[in-house]
Amino acid sequence: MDFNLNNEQKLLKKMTEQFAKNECEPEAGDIDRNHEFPMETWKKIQKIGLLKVNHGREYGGVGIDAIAEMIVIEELSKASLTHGAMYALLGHGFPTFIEKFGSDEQKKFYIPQVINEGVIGSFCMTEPDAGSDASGVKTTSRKDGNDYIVNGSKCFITAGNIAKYHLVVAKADEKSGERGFNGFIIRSDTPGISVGKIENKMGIRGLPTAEVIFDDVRVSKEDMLGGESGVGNMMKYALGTLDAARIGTGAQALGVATAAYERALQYSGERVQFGKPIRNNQGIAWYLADMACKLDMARLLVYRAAANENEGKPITKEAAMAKLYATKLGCEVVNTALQIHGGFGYMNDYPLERMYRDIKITEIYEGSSEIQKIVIANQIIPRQKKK
Amino acid sequence: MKIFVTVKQVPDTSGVVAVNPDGTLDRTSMKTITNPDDMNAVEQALKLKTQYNCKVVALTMGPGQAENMLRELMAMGVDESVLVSSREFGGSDTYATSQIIAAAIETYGLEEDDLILAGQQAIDGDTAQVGPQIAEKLGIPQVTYAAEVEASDGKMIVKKMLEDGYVTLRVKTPCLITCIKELNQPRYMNVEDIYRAYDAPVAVYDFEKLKKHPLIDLEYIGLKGSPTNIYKSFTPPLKSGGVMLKGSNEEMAGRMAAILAEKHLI
Repeated sequence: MDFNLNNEQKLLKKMTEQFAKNECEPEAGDIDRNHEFPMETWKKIQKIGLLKVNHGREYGGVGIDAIAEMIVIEELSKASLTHGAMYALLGHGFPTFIEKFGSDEQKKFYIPQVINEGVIGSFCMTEPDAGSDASGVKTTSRKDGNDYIVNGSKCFITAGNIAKYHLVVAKADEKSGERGFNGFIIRSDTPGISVGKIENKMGIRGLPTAEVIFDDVRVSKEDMLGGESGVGNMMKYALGTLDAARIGTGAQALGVATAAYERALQYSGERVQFGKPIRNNQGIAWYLADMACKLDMARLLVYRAAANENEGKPITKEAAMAKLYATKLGCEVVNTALQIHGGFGYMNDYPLERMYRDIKITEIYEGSSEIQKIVIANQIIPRQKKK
Repeated sequence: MKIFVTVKQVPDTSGVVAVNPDGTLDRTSMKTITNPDDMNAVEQALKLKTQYNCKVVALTMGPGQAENMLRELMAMGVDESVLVSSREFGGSDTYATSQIIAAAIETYGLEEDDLILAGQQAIDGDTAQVGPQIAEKLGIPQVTYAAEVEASDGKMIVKKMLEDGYVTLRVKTPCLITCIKELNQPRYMNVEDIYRAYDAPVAVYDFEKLKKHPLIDLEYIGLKGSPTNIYKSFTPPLKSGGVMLKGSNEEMAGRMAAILAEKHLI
């Protein structure tokens, strides 16, 4: 069992750490207060090549390595979850769908745009009645000659207002014999697409979340994800990328919690009450010991799942465990870190209250904690034969 | 044209500084960084590389672990690296170091249109001597304190910082230029070069490889051969942070006068 990073991963970690400290951390408070997407930083992330990580060489990446992706997510999330989530969702959401399930033409067309130009693609699945239960999607796709007509309304779409492309999940056209769900890659300036409400969120406020409305949007059948063989397969595709995305969500929580812990460790050494640094009290020292253990547990789960992914092993259970516990433990660690900071932690001048608001989303998106438990239970409980 | 960049791994001054019994720094037990001025030299070399499509070779003298630094520079875009490393070279002062590095540069091959870039000075020894001494040993021109560097018709145009201004010099290659932090902002490593950084080997020049070179005077290498020996090393006690005054100039001046008066200094 090898717990060491390889040479490239070590350099990548160091580079991302420097980048996050110099470029992301200084703006973290402002983008949160102003609800401002850090477009300049996103471009810099593209420029230094971070979007090449965990994408195949044939499309401009530096090769598949899930551990490397987790390293970058963790380091950026230490600066702020807006940065970590932006990288995870925009750098490995839309392009990863296409890399895994797109047609050859789609791969060659879209992936280099993301990697080399920082083009943003959104994933439009969630609807008011289709959250954890994705089969509740009501958006329709009606066949019309060589085209489809898409109608429906999507909510909580990350970067829905700034994306150049949308990957849209819609019900297949049952009248023409299709079943299941179709996925379409649609340019955001296509007639009939409009952006509705931009959400005012508790956390990750620098990463916009928008409603996207599709009103008689005409899309060629060639723009179906996977080409013609993609008909009816979108839900299978979504499930096929979710496992990997869940590990990334664990890495996001791990990054935020690590940063909170490091601050608490330092602050508790500087803060003097009753004549001594507060961490010289056993009560605070034990908090710190617990936090260190929780972070190690989270880290081991996240990187074990990523290592399994690299080795091509099944990851459904491991990814769900990593997400469930890294986010749960992460929230606990941030909560304790804020507690250690006392009143200062509650103030907007310190980053703790932002971390506290930010990290909560990791227990919710990419499959809530409750859904992870269902996934894990399904993996460990033997299936009973129906009588 | 190719560009040598001489670099040094130095202790991270934000960490703990450890000293050997002989007074030299215990470099293996300390957290290290690439000397900041050297990073400006690397950045300048990489900028010129983009402009003139030339090769950049990083060269350092130090213990084996200095290879990690060289790999990081290669992950920024440096093409090749030379690590000058041998027990016999350990403890060298600037005089000894510069003749060894000069010999290493000649061993690699110094051509008519080559350039050597160095940092102005290292944050550990603060001597600013090695760069100029390398140029002297090689018998080539040097310009120190470079705040701007460009190439023109086989010559280098260098804006050199003086105490109260700048002077622009034109210098023939091969030459050595020492760089200051005003010169540029060093870039980050980039992902593509990270994934190439370990493809090329780091050449190691040891005592055996360099000992017969004409520039090497065996009497003057290593700790024993160094004309300068360290008498004593110590960590200076921390000075108190002082008091920062706030407010308008007049308010601050008034406060300061009051403090000085209180201490019976005025």
